[in-house]
Amino acid sequence: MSTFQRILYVEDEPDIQTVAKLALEMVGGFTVKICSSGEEALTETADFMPDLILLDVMMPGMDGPTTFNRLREQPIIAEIPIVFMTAKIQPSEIAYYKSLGAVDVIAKPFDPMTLADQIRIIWEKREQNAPIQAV
Amino acid sequence: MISIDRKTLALSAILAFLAWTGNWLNMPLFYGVDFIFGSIAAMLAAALLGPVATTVIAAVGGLYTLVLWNQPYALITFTAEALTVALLYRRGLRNLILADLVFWVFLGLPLILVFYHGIIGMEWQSTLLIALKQPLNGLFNALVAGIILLVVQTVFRSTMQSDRVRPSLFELLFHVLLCSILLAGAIPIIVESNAQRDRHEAFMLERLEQIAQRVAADIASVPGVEIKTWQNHLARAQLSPQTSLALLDHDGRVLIEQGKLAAIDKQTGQIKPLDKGLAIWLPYGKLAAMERWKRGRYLTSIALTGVADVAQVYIEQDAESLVLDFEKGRLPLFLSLALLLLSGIIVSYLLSRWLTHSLRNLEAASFGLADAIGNGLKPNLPASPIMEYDNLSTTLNEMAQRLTDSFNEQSEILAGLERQVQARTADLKQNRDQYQSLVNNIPGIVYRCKLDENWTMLYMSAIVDNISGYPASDFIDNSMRSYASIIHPDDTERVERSVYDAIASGTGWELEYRILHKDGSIRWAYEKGTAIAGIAGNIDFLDGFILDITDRKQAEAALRESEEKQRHITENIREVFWLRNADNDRLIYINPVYEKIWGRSCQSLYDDPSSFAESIFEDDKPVFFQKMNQYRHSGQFDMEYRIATPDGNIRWVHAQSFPVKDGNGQIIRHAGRAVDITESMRAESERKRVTHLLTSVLNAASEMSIIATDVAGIITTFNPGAERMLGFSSAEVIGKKTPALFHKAEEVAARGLELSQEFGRPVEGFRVFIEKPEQEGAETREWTYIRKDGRHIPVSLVVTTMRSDKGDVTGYLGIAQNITERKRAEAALKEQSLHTKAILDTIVDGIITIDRTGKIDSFNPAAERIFGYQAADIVGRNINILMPNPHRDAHDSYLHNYQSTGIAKIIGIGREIEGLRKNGELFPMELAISEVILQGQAMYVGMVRDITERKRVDRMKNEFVATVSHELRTPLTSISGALGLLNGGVLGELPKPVLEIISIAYDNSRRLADLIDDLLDMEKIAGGKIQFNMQKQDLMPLIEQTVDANRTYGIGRRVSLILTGESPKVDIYADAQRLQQVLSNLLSNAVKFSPDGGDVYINVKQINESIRITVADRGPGIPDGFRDRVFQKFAQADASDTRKKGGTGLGLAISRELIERMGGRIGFESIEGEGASFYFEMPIWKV
Repeated sequence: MSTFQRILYVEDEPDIQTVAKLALEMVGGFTVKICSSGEEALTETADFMPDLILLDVMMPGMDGPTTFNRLREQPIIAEIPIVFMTAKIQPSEIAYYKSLGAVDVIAKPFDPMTLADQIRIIWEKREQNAPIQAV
Repeated sequence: MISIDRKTLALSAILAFLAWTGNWLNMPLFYGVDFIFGSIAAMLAAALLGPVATTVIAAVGGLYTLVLWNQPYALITFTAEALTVALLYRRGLRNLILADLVFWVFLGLPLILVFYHGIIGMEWQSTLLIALKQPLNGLFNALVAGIILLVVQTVFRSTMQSDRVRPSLFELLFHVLLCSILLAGAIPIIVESNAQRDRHEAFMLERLEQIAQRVAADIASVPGVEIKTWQNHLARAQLSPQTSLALLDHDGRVLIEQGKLAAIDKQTGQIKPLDKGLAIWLPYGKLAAMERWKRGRYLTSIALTGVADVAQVYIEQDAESLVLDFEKGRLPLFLSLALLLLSGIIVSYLLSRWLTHSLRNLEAASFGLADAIGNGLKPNLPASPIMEYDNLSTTLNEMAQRLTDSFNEQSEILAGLERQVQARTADLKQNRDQYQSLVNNIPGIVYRCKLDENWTMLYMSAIVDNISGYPASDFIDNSMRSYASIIHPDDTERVERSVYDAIASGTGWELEYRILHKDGSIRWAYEKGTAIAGIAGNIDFLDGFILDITDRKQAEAALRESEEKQRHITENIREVFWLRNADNDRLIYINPVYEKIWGRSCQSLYDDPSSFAESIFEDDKPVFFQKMNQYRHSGQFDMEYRIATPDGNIRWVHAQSFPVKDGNGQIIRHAGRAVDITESMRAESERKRVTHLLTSVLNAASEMSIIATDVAGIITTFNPGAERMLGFSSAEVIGKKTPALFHKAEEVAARGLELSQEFGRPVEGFRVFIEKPEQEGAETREWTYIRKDGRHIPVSLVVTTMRSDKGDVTGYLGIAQNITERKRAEAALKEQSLHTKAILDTIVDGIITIDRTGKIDSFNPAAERIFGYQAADIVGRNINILMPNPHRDAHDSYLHNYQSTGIAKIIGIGREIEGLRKNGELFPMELAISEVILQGQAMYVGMVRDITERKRVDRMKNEFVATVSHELRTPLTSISGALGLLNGGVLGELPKPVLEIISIAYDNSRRLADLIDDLLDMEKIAGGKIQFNMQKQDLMPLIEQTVDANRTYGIGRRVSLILTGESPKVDIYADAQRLQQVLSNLLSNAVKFSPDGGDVYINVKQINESIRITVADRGPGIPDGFRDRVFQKFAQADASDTRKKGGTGLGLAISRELIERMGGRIGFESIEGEGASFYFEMPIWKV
């Protein structure tokens, strides 16, 4: 099992940025970087090299799914798991995110006290389901 | 129009071709004079085809002369010739030569002079030549044509149909003579003409050779080549400019020449060699033959020997002078030829006439010969100076004489024969008269008729007049009528059949039938007849004999009638009578009727008169004997009493008895009679019974007015019901009044007017009531009765006609019923229906009724507004017009299925469905259909509500809710997150009051988030947006998982979740997530309403084909007043409680929707104060 420490959070709403950052860093002990837009995420991700990306769906300018696809175009970061965190959680919408390649979806509003655990569970599930890497 | 048959057309075509060919085969008669033969065909046409065809044929033939002579005048002349001849021939001048002669003398010659001298400008001499040649040619052709015609007519005589085209002797002679004369005269002339030319040319040759030889001699005399000298020789030898000379070398080339050498130039003409070294050069170009000749040059050459280089002396000379000489000589030739022809014609004509004269006379005389012989006169034939004719005449005369004699003899024999025939005829007539008289005097009719369709009568005796009223002549030959026509129509078939049967079987017939006499009476005839076969065995005639047997028949009928009467009388005596002796009571006589009535023998009475008493019915005996005793004093007995017959029946008899006295007044006998009156007694008793019954009925029918009248309308019966209804007593009206007394006069008058119009005659007064019943038996109508006290009563009156057994009207019966109540009910019903209609008309929902086939019966105004159709347009059409597909096409089968299976798709169930307006617009509507059975027929009532607007508002609301809910979440995420962090102590320990406040804020932010979730769910469900991922699920793990997940929720309130029951191992078909949502909701509600430390029991149980999951709590339960609204949106039993318990009020509404959408059902059981059990059931999955 690889270490799971660095999370990049892409979210346009500053209040939610603050709450989530607090919840992940103080409750979960993660290292968190916030990007306020999809464009910013495209430039920053390669530098930060997160273990996981949390991505909002509804954003001005470049929305979540577009950002998702553009991130996947960069080979260095193409393998980083991405989890959508959104208020748009109808079954059809969730199915859509997963069809893009998202690992999972976290509903807003989230519980700040359990958010970190939730993400960790997702991470572990993913580790279990990931194909065994050739050494 | 000229009608042309195919044969004529073919002949015309052939003749036209021959005409042209004849002209093409022109023959130079003399040099420069061409004979043409086209007009032979034209002449034949003139004789055979008529003017039109002739003209065409002549014109076709004449076309060749354009080529031959280069001018159109010959064509015109020939065409005119043919036309003239054809016209003359048609007018009767049936000799082509004479007709042609007429043409040439009167028309042809002037035409030639005008054309050739006048127009072309030819010299007189040439013109005259042509003027002689053309008629010669024409007449010659006419002669040839005449001969051909004669030959044809003679050879094909059998095919000639009339005398007209048969050749006459005269014509034959004429043609033969003319031919002979012409041949005899013309040949020397033609030979002479040719000889003349030969002489001229021989002279020409001689002169040219002389000159040439002289030149040759001159040249030969000069040795060497001396061109100059030769030239001089040649110049000397040229005597005139018309002559030209030349010397030619061995190759025929000209060495020197003198004068113009026309003939050397082969380009301008051609050289024709003639006799003895002479040749003539003729120029090319369009020239007449004579002209060409005139411009031609004669030429010849002689060989020269002994002179080097010069081989020939060549010489030419103009032909003109020769031609002029020749012409000069030829004119007389032609003149003589013309004279010859003319004289030939005249001579031939006269000679032919003379030769045939005698024959014609003979012919003329012979026309009368037959008559003369027939009349027995002596024939007289003309004598002739010619021996043969005279002999012929004499022979004919003798022959005629003999014939006349023989004929006279024959006549006498004939006259004798005729006298014999007359004598025989007279005999026969006498015989026939005798036979006639015989026939007429026999009492029957004798006839003979043909066996044809009309039985044509050949003979019939005059006596037929007696039986038929028509004279025999009417029937003979069926001149006026056939005998069959007076046979009675009912007998016709029988008579015909009998006759034909008899003919077929070879026997005679004998029958009786009726005849219709002229005076209209019917007569009886007896007929006996037989068919008469002819020689060939066929039936030729029918002979018969007819006898008038009317009298016999009448006598027979009278006899039969008399016998019938007798029998009738005998059979109808119903009375018993008897006679008794007064002294010893012995019965003297009793008629046999006694036996019939009493059933006892007469003999028994004769034996023992007192045995009579035995028959009297026991009850009547006392009275009978009493009356008998009285009779002894009074001498009168008259009693009706009963008797008992031996067979046990009781009969009524009416008996009378009276004494018979002698001259002294002494009673000597008793006579009596008795009649069986059983029937009349029975009828009387029946009448009494009926009368009684009727009276009872009349009296009992107290609610019915029963009134009878006589024919005049006077009331004869007025029952108590009538008294009660009208207030009159029967005594007041019976025999005194008519129903007019209590009828409303205006009504009667109005009805009278209607009936008058209907029947076209005035109907008024009492007849108004009876007009219809008399015709139809009965009539029911509503009337108004007026009571004695003036009150009006509406009644329904039935009027019937009463008739006797014979059918005569005896009176009328009117039965009336008070219909005041009915009227009132009707009015109420009408008002009710108006009321209903008003409601239907004003109601906002569309109401449509259809019959069992789907046809629209009614369509209220709201439906009109909704669908856009007018009721009048749509009533009667199929309801499916208001539906879009697939319902439209399937609707008839929906209805049918429902009617046959009772399984409803919509009926009895309200649902939302799309409707189709008239303008094609689709709209949402709420439809509720109910079935109504009216008079045994199913009909369907559909209530339609247009919910377009509601739907729109709903949609707007849902969209609004969705948007708002979603937008609310974003800030809520921050608030809830921030409060959560504070509340969780992540940001450090907070003072206790602060923490409490933060906690409240955090809880409420969570509630708000839940509310938004529920609102969104609700909106999705309402908008039909929710999607179910239906799959087979293993039930128990799903339940256990959900219960476990919710355990934590109860922990705070020390509420335990306890799973009980059988845990059946079943699968269900559902969306796992939605099912868990429902169970979670029920669990959270149960926990919420449980007292602290209470238990919540979860039970899973199989009920039949379903599985039931129950969640039970020990909370306060559901108040009775709230039960109905438990599953409604935002429903909460107590508003204050809500705040305490939390929750959105949407949970149960959502749960019900989800469960029902997944095919299950949800419910609860509760006793207020003792807790509530909510459950849902899902069908068990089956493979």
